[in-house]
Amino acid sequence: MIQIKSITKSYGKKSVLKNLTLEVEAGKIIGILGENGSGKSTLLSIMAGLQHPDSGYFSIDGKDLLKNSKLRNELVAYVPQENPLIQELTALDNLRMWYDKATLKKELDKGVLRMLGVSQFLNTPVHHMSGGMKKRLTIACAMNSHPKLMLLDEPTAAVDLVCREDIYNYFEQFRGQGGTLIISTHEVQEIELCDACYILKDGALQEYRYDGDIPHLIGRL
Amino acid sequence: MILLLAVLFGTGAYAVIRDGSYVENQKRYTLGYVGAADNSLLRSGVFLLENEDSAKEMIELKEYENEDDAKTALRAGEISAYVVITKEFMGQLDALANGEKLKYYATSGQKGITGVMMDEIAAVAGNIIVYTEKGILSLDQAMEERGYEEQDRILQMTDCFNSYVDAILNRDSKVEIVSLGMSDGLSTPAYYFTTLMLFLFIMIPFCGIWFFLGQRDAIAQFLKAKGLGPARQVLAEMFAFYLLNIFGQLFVVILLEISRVVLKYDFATLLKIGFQPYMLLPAMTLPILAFTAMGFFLLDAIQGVVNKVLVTFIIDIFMAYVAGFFYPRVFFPMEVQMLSNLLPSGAALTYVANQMVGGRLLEPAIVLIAYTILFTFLSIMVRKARIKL
Repeated sequence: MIQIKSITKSYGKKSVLKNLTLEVEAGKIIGILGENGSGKSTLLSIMAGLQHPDSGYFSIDGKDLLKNSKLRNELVAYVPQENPLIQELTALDNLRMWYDKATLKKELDKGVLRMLGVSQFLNTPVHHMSGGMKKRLTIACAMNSHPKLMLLDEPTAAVDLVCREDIYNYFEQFRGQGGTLIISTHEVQEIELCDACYILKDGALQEYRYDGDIPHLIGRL
Repeated sequence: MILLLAVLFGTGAYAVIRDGSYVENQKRYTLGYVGAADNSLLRSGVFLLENEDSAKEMIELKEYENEDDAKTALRAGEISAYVVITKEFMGQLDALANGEKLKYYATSGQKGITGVMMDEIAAVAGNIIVYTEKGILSLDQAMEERGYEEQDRILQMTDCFNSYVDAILNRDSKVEIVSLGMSDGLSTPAYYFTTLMLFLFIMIPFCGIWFFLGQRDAIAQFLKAKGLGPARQVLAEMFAFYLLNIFGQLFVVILLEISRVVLKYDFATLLKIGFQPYMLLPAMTLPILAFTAMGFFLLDAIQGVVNKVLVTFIIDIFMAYVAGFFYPRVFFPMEVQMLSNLLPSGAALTYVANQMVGGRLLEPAIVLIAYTILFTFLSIMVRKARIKL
């Protein structure tokens, strides 16, 4: 169970998150929608430990992750919108930064790296990769600690349809293993993938049931 | 790129002190003179100056039959200056009383080292060639007017001349001469060798500019999410950057050591200090650390490739100039010299120079360490801001 309670964050006089509360059961995919600047990225960055909230509580299975950064680094994987890979290195070299030799081999044979199809481009330098390959590699790097929660900031922006399908398949597998995903997105395909969606507006989350009516969704944002 | 720059500077440093023409040029300025040919005493003075006096290390004298020839040679750059010794000057008893002046011509626009050198040369030439002879000639004329026979006059003049020459030639042993060197107690070759090396090491961070290109905030954020905070990120990257600069230093030292061992080039003698190239390694450690931290901060904090290059280059050139890398800082106003000592580049020069001549290291070391800490701290602050969305 993931709990976010009364998270508040302000930048100067501008209040971005106001007593934001959310509870998510394990094995769910949650979509966070909202206009640009509504605070989606701020919420994810607080959960990823990039910045501190002014106040609030964030836990997984009752463990306070705002006070235990080491545990948070293990349990939470963060996939930023831009790729965080070292451009000059190959996929394998990037993976070596996060996996020891034995684990890398094991994951390539039958683990997360196999699921993401990373072995197909192991020796390709990042700057020669497509957007989809980079995103799969980023997810692969983020998943090295076998986290329980994956935070994704617009994960399939600028990713071709085939790679999107691979990535969505992986999300399903991760969910099937009891993992939870929180996705900040603008993509209809991703919204359809979610078990529940929330609109972040005026610093608070409002649950939204998407039924394919895009004009209605736009109106709510 | 780092290899190219290191080769360039290494070769430059080698050339500065290895080149024979430099060794030759650094001690000899060509001075022309006109009008001494028909006077035996003046010729003796010129001979002494050319062959016996310690000034011979600095001056090469060249005689011209007339002033036009000397003028042409001066314009062609064959001589640095020329002195005209007029007949009126030599022949008149009252020349001294009348304040008859020596004509001295030199190329204009050269102040600083060359100007100072030429003033010294003119003073030496004036004293030895002219005033000595003037005194002797005055004695000759005074004795003649008082009715002394020529034989007596020659005897007196010879005694006087010999006494004077003896005094002139032995003047070095009659006074204590303490050579402070051109700047920071270093000989000219050692000074420029040091500043050339320091200029190389302040510029080397440019070679690692690719290190800072294509940087994304996402990398810093991803690393932070993985538990690597801004301080650890900056220290790790700075260490890699430092290794890059150390690699450049090693390359230069190896180049110089090869010239010392294989080509039998004697650095200690030519730099006039007990210094060998391998000593650059410990001597440059702190300066390179400070330059690394400064280069890292500038290249990391400034956004955009053009801005990175432009701003860093301008700051480096300013620091190098004020510190006296291109021109000895002793010629700068006192305020600028004080500023120089407070800059990383100036403190680095003092630190390295003092190691070579055995001066105090504490103050410049403190300045260098303080800058290293300051730039590291600022880099961490920049990284921290970058991690926050």
